[in-house]
Amino acid sequence: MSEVVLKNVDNACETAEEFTRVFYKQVDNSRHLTSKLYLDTGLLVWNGNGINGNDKIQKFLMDLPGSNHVLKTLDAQPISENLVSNQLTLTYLIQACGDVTYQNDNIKKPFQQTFLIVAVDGKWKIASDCFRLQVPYNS
Amino acid sequence: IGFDVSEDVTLPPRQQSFLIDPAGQDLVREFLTQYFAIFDSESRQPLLEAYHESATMSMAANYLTNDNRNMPATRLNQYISNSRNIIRITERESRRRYLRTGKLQVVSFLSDLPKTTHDLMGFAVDLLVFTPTMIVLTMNGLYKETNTSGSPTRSFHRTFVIVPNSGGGFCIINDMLYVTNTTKEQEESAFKSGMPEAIPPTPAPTPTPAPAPSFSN
Repeated sequence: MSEVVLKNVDNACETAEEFTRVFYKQVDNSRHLTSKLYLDTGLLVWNGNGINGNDKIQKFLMDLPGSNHVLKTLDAQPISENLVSNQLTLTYLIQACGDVTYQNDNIKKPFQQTFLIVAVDGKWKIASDCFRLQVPYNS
Repeated sequence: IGFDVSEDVTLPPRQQSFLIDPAGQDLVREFLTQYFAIFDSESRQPLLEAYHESATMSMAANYLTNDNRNMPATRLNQYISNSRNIIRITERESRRRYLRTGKLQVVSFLSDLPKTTHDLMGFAVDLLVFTPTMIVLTMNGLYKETNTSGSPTRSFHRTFVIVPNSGGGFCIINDMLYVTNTTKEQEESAFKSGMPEAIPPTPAPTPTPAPAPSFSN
């Protein structure tokens, strides 16, 4: 790999650390501000429920019980930018896993969450956010 | 007199799958069926066809908080030793090394993982991006390790970023895998789906012809 590509790998990891620190702090402590982290056209898929656009995402998040996330595992990769159409958008794939406790039952639940984040005007924004609790999904 | 706290707020019901575009359903189903048929077979070498020349792949593994790590079937040593958990792997050099780069490295890495049988019918699949230039899908599901003593079942979360290849098919450019143990609840319902409902049927007709499902050239 070229030095530029390798630097991008370092940067993906360091951005993922910073991003998840901000994201979970907001979701747990200042949830009313969380939708600012999403693109206007961002997508949240919460346990298979799809929510499009950051206004709707904000409303959806506000209706969830209070939460506390503890991150245990984190991984990140750059997505090859020249392959994603011709736009020069920097895109990172981030996978965050850990335990979440919701105030309604206070039970620690394992969760896994995947983010696609893009750099827009010098800020990182979530293009897609896929959240899954680790439970059976077969019907 | 009590306080008006939101104790009665419950979580929204979970859905097995989400599709950003129903037109992607057949392609995703075909792709995953082909991919895991090879992944679960004797040799994972044919997966070379499924990856882009400069594909990247990483795996992270961790125990569940309540896991009993003294039970042999619960041990994740085979995964943890290659885990790219960047909370623990803090040096840049190591983070670079644990990212498998190029399809040869990727498939060689995958070939060294334990032999498996995936519970394909039980997959939760979310199609997050479906455009002519890029497809992003995540999977949550279970597999059994077939050559490990006690045949333990593992839980995984995995993301594929897929792009068109030169032959009119599709290939994976990013692959990110998380492996952990199953919860008791997952263990009880593993491999119990009677119907192929990994992706729910959609009533709407497919607006555009589905692209060639094959990832071979």
